[in-house]
Amino acid sequence: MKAVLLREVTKKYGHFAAIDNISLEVELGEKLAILGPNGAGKTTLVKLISGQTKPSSGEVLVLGSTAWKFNPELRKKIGYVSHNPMLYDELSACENLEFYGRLYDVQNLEEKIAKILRQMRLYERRHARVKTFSRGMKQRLSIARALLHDPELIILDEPTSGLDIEGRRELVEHLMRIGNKTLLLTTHDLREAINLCDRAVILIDGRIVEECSISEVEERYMKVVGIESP
Amino acid sequence: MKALEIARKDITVEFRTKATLNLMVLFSLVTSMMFSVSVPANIAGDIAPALLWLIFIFVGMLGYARAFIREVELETLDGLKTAPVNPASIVFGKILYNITLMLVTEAVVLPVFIGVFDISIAKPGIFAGVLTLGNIAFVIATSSLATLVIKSRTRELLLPVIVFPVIFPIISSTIFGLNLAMNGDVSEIAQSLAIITSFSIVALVIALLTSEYAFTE
Ligand SMILES: Nc1ncnc2c1ncn2[C@@H]1O[C@H](COP(=O)(O)OP(=O)(O)OP(=O)(O)O)[C@@H](O)[C@H]1O
Ligand SMILES: [Mg+2]
Repeated sequence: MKAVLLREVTKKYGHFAAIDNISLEVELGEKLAILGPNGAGKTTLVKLISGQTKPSSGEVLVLGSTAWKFNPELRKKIGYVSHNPMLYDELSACENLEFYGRLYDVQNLEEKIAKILRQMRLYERRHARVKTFSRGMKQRLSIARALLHDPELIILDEPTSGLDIEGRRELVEHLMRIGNKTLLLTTHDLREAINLCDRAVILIDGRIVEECSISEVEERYMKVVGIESP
Repeated sequence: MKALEIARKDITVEFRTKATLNLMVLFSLVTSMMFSVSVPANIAGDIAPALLWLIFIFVGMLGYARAFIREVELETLDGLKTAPVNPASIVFGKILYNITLMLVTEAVVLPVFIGVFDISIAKPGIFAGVLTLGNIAFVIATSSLATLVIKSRTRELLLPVIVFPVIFPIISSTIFGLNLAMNGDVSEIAQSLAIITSFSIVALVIALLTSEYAFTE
């Protein structure tokens, strides 16, 4: 079984194809960087894989099941972080995790929440409302939320956007410890991709224009996107 | 039940800010006062049920759609959409939450309304029952339409326009039932209750069936 399998997938908004006939395979345990300039279709691609949108044509299989069809067992195996933190401002860090933990039927919830909040250095602030959190704290909590149910496939859409250098470094270090899980990461930061991933695809205008191992990514990225990475 | 979790979360959030609830209660108190001074005393008894309903309808339009629109605007709906929660449970959770808001508003407004209008109600228990049942039907209809319009860019404007024609049977049956309860002759009330109940059931089924469509882009 593949972690992710896309067969000739197109996603159209009106007449505009945000994803244009993409085929892609991701092995279990593989860590894939999805790169490309603004508007290339990275978010659309991960939304297709996380089952939030339905392809206009083609097939999206995630861990063997069709991604967009509602399937609670599949959902429990996916952890998704988008650039918006998907947290409730009026609830505390703990309450946010409790809410999502119950939706995901997490066992020993209190214990796991305490553990992950410690890892994310939020334990001291666990009873504070999220609206009092900084951007970086919210992002860390959002990642805690996505990892709480111990997913097999982790999808991160620009997880470090809005974080300072220290916050980025910390997050990358944390993600480097996730072990043999499958990771999909979209980012504008090539160094982040190099630190976390084994392989990269580069999207432009909804098409995969380059697929390479991570060691070649800088050179290829420069060639196809035409600018040096930040 | 995941729907209960969602309703509980929404209730916690709402009771911390009270943004929607304050708005609903204040609006209904202000309109009750306004109606009471502007309606001549000799006809107050006849039109009181209709006015009371009018207040709840406007207040509901202000309040009930917020439960969805807030999640769409804050993009937390994406968190629910990627969670292992049936779309129908999300909608049902929102309905439960809206019913709670409605009950709180009703508990505050009904005594005040009866007080300022100085009306006598022959069967207060039945009166409150019909009002609550009508309100539940209204909540279900509004919530299901709110689900359908969340994809639309003009959702907040679109909703009132489509809600009124849809809920017309509930409006007329509830007012009819309230009048009967006020005058004390409730022998014909079963028919209005049957209309309201069957309407609620149909609206609920439609809401649950269309929820999946509403949540897939
Ligand atoms: N809901 C939508 N309706 C219409 N067009 C959309 C929608 N979502 C995305 N698009 C379009 O699809 C294209 C790809 O968008 P997408 O968000 O996937 O890009 P991206 O690679 O994630 O960009 P960024 O780096 O800015 O996050 C864009 O041209 C965007 O305007
Ligand atoms: Mg994006």
